[in-house]
Amino acid sequence: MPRQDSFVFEVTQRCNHDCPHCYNAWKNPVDYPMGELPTGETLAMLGELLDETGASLVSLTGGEPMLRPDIYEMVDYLNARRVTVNLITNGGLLDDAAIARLSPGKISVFELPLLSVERSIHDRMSGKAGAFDRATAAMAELKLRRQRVVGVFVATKLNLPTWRETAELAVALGLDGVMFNRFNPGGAGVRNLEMLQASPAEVQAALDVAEEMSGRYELPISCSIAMPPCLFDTKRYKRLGFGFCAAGTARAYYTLDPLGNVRPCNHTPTILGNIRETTFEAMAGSPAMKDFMAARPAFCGGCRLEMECLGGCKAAAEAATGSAWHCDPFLTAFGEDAVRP
Amino acid sequence: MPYRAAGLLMALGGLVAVVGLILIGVDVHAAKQRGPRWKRRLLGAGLAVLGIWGAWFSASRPGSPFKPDVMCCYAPIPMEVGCAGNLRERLPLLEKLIAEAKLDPGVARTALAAAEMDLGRISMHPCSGPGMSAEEMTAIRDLARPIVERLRARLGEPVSLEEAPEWKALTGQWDDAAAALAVEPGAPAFDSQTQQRLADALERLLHADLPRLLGAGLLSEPEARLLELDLVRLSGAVRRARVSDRETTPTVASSGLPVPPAGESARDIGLRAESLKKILASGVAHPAALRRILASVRKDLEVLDRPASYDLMGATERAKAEQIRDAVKAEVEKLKNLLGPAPEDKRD
Repeated sequence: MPRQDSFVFEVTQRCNHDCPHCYNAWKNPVDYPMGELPTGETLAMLGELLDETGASLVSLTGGEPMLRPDIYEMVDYLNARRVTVNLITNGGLLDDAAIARLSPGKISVFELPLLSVERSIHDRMSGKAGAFDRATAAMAELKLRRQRVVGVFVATKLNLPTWRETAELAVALGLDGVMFNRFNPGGAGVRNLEMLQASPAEVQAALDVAEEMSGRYELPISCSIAMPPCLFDTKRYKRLGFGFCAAGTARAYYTLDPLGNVRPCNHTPTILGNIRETTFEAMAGSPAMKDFMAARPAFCGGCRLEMECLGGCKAAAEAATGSAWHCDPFLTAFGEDAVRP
Repeated sequence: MPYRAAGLLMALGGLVAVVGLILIGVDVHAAKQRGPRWKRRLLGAGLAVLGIWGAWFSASRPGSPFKPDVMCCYAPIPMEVGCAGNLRERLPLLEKLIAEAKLDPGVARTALAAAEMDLGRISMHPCSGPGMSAEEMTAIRDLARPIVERLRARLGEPVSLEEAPEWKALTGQWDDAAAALAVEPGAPAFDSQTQQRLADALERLLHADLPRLLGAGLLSEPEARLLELDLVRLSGAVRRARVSDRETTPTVASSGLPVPPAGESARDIGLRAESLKKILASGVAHPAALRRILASVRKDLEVLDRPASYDLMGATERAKAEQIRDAVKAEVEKLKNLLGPAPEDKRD
């Protein structure tokens, strides 16, 4: 029986924001199935996946998960199953009453966007006026209720100039950590590459700032989107954590959509099957999954880190080009600057 | 287990094995000549593999880009929680952002409240860790106090204890719980839902409202400690109370013998003595808080004044309890001078 540490559950595809960098799979130019199941069927589906995988951590995301009125029942169900729950939300609907219902102790980590210290930039990157004030209000209230909160900074051309002050805002709000994620094109992001894509030099300079901020303020900062080592010198950072593509391993974050479709990760539009119709074991061992795991771009051939790095984010490659075997769009854009490690 | 730790353990194990062999006097030269050759080679190969693994794992360092035990995309960030170690930077940054009008005033108030709460928490329950020695904590408090005062004034936050919503919540919920517990001995105090509600409210007072009042400078540290002791006792009483809709948990052997009332009161008063002395030495008190603290101390003194309370006590214990009682009584008399005139709508 396959064992998975965790999975991501996209509880709804609806969202009250319109982020230009949104990577949601259904925003790709593919015919992605849309819809939601009633509460009872949703809980049964979650139960099946937990029974089969033994997962101990579920990250609830969307769309905007707080748009579903039965989100509390899902959280209670997962808590009753002794599963750790993370909530990835834009914070727009996390008012005092919602926070009171989700605390204390029901959610392990709240992940909210902290896209800039500048209200106008955060709002623009959220596609919603007032998003900054609502997100910061939710973060401050969560901290007052002694919850663990992580701010997510998606590094783009628009907000990178404000990164240092944004990290300081995270400290001022008492956040427990920050995710510094380079913009990873997918979904709506593919259409906005020109506006959003920062250069490796700009991202590297921001990583220098992140290292400094992490040391100065004892602020944990992680970079969860894979950083190709031919474009970024990550070895010089002692304090930052760097992510990698875990697709297919026990630490993979297989993603379940609201209809029960399972994908190798939350960035890819590839559907392996539906948990209501087939077993997780069959999906994890399917030809589509094997192909996803094997995929790496020809660009990486001969690189000594080819099998570890796997060419950055193959889901982004798939979203941008239609094939996971193509280059991560970041490599496509800046491959000529690459220095083989 | 992290790879680095596993590698270090392996290396340590190997070192212990070598030292052990030397200590028990194993002749390595003779040993390598004994037994079948294939066994010796197999053992050698196994040790070599372990050595290489150990060296490789030990060499990997946190932050290495391909270290699968650190994290993967969208895995939760590793972090330490609750130490609030960056408060010395947090408050100046918050002040700067508020001055630059980067935050909505409502958000600024909540962020300040959270910072005050964390400041109070580390004062009441110091946490270990880098930069958190007693001197460091004093330095953080000294740095924080004027910033907190400036920010409270700027944001129009209450500057007296009696006006603070947290104090109103604290006194209101304290009184509610005490009133609910005031039933005939053995009678159920409330139903289990009310019990849960009261317990949750008291938890919030203990872990959020009370530390915030301390962090905001509206209570002194000894006052906060004394109020905390009372709230902990109240919280315990609520949790232990008999409820109307559930069977009482039967007493089991491990519950121990009943504590004599005098013993309990002497212990509780003993816990308070040092903080009471500190208030007396400072010569400053917040009358509303002190009134509540003294009311609680007086209840214990009343117990200690009743001879029947000592029934289950030995002579030595009794003498000690009476000594504590007399010392605290004297302190209470002196502390009365700090109360000032009693308010007209005094509740306690």
